[in-house]
Amino acid sequence: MVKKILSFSFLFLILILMYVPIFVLIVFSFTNTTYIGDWNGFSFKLYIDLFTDSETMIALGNTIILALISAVVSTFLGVSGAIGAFYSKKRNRAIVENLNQLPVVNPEIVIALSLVVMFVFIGNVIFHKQIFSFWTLLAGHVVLAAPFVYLNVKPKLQQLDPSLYEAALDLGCSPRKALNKVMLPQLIPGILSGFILAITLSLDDFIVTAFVRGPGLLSGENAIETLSTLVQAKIKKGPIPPELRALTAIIFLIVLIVVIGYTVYNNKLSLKVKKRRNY
Amino acid sequence: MENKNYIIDLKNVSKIYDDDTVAVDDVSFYVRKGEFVTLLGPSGCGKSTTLRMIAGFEFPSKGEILLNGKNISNLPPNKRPINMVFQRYALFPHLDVYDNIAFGLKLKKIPVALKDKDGNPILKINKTKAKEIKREMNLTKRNKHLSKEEKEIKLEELSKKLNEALTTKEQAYKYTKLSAKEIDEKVARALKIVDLEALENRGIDTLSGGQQQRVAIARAIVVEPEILLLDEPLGALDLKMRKDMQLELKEMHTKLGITFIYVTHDQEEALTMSDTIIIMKDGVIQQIGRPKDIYDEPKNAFVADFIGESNIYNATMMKDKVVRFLDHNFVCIDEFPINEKVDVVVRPEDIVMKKEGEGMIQGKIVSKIFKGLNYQYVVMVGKNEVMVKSTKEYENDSVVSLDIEADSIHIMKKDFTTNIYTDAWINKENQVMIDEQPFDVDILQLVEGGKLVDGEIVDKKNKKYDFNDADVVAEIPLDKIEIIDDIESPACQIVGEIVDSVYKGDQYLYIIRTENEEDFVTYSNYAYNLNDKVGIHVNKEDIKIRLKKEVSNYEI
Repeated sequence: MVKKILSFSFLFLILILMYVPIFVLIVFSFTNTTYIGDWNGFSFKLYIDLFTDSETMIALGNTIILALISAVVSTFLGVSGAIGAFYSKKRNRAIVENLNQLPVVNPEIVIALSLVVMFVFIGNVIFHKQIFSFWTLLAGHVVLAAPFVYLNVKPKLQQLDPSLYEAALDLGCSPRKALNKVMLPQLIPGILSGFILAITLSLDDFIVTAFVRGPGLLSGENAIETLSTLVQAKIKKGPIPPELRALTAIIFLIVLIVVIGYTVYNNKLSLKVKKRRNY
Repeated sequence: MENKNYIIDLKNVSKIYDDDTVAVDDVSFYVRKGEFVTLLGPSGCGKSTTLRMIAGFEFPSKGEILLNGKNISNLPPNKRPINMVFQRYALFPHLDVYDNIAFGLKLKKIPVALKDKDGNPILKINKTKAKEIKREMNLTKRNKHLSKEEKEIKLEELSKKLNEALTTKEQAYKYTKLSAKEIDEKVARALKIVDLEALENRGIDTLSGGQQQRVAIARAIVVEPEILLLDEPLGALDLKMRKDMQLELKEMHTKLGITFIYVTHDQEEALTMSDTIIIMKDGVIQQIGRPKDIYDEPKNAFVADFIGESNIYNATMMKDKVVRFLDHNFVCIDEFPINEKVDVVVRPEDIVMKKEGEGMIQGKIVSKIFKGLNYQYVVMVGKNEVMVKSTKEYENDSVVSLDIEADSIHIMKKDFTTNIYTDAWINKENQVMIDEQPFDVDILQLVEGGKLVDGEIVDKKNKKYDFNDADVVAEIPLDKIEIIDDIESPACQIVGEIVDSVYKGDQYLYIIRTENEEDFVTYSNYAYNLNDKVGIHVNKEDIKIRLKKEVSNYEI
């Protein structure tokens, strides 16, 4: 009994630590004071400010575009890498696996610095000019996310019955069709979670972004500003801009809706019975 | 040319893997249209590899596979009119029963001959055919197991074919798919054949093992293959289910008229279902024949032991049609040269048990098991065990007399390729008992990835095993038995008498027979005389053992 109470209170402690700050933030997004703790009445002013502040909107747009594109690219690379490595010879597979492990355990600052050095080198030697742009930023985010996609897909491949692929060939699939019709559907859960992880990694990345960004996207001639770099820039000058409270509240709400929606969809999917035509 | 009745014809097919292991060694056999053929053998005998080569998942290193007289050795599986039922079914978990069965139908392409306005056939150069020949040329070039001359001959042949394909025009086809209605009808028919009409909308993971089995069969037969391959399809079912499915499969075979090629290690399954059985061991075919012929006339001791229960003895031909074993001269019907050492097989049900003193040989009953239909006795005759099946009841420990008629004695030429001991067993110290003498052996070969942990045998999945009293078949290669002159020496494991010696080129082949009439056949450079008493020593790593029952029976 005591054990049960203890374990429960531990769980609650963690949940409180995780959710109280978010809750406080959401509550204080509905008042327009600069400092949290003051409350001068309920208002939507922060939300209105947020959507009228072009700087923040540009950063938000950049962040979303970058997250989506880098997630798509790293999912493609991670999935094909995982499938390719899984069906390679043992030695090659071990090499790929270890190489993939490195960026995962490496501190981000090391990745960021080495990317900068590489881009400067390539810029100087091949292009004879600075090459920092959206493309270098995208490359940085892909480097960050692709190994995690690989790690998400790998266990799904290991669970796969090896004769499924052969069964597909046996029933008349070409190797490519067998991959699309039989293998990929089995890997979908792993691919999806890899994709979402890639988006998350890109959304809140600061270090790599700060190092490898260049002009482009919605920022035009200026260096690309994402939410994380924008917040960092603003904090440097003064207190945390109050509109960001509203932005964080909105992001939290969207994540909540996506997670609930995904769960509900999954539950419904398993109950659904296919209706067929009857001739 | 080719015999039209042979749907599949394997000609000297070998499969050698990259690490030089020979899985299949120069195998040749044919299958007639509509036949039910079973490839039978212990695990690792090459039967599955042979099946996979017919299916197209593996390509032969040497030799040819002909389908209706056409070489398909290097054709990929999706281009062969052959379908397979997999060992663990390999159903697609993301599709339901209906879609699993319809999978192959949706991919099926039906050729329609192209005709111009006047109804004349349109002729075109067949590019697909040319592509296939090119692919085969590439495979031939990369094949490490063919000699240079063989390669050149084959490549020349192929380039001739390629030229022909690129210059002559053939009837052109366009390919159409089956309509949704046709697919629906075919799926419904297949579901009916396997008795699963009510389950078409169910997900795969909601089905029982037996139902999944049926879906797997339906999925393979619905595309109307010319040959259906079955890779131990009943292995995962329980005994009762297995018996029912055996009968059903047999019935299906008769009804569908498709050629079945079946792979199993279960001799009873093979005997019940097949028209023809092909017995394999170590990648080599041991015997091909009808079930009854193989049972009655096994070619060697391995086949005799593998098919049915049998008493196998070492014997000597005494006179014309008289053979000596169990210390008695028996009249037999097989003719062998006088004095030749032979193997004798007697089936337990062919031995007649009588009261003491009434029959040819006397023995004492040491074990008696009621088997429902009859009693199974073990009778000690001298130092030999005789297994007898009889409907009459005798008391344990009583002395009985046995009769063996001439036509129940089957005599086989001695197999001078390896020593096989079919009644070996494992003792408490994890040694193998051959002829009731302990031999050190590598016990870990019985489990996959086995190792010793604190004196216990553990496999790669950390399951523990206890092999005490396990019945095994032991094999010792001829050149691995060492003859020891000093029979008192500690290295000497067993003592016997030299009963036969043959001079073969530069060395002698000896047969050493022990007191219990077990034979050890070995080569030696030294000359011994007949009736010399010698000792025998076998190194631990040279004894190969194989369990008679499934390994799972010994799990603890």
